[in-house]
Amino acid sequence: MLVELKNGETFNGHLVNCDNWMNLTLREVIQTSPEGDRFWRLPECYIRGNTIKYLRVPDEIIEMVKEDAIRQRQAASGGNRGRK
Amino acid sequence: MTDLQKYVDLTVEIITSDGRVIVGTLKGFDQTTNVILAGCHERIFSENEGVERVALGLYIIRGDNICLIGELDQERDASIDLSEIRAAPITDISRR
Repeated sequence: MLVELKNGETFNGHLVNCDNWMNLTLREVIQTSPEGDRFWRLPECYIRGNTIKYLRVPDEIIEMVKEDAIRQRQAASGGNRGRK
Repeated sequence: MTDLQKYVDLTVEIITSDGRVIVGTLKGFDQTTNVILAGCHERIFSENEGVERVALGLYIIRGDNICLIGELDQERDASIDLSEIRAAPITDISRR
């Protein structure tokens, strides 16, 4: 995924973890300066949520989220039906 | 606070604090107005040339950067020829 910060820097990498404040850890990251002229390769980085401007994410994710939501609802209602 | 729920699955236009205009389908939102926009594109306005469309894909825009979210009337939007439009781009709000 791609993360653009408020200062214009971009980070391209794989999402390892995230929390409720949108803090992220990414692996195998390419960092690009705001001007787009300088690049760094970082094996891992931590991004504080409040510095994020936006996230660009693969289009397939939206399908996976819908499937997850449906499965969770089925698991919840299925579990309740099992109990007396 | 007005609920964005009524805009879900509709085409919306978002103006960000850096003056960007992004159009897409609103898929989700939360209490801090973080927004999920599917199939979105940015419309870059220019005084000399027609509107440039940059395809963006699936975006999550953080609420702190959103100024305005508006429902887009698809019919009216389809009837506009973007290559004919000349307009000055919006400046970002943080600068005075």
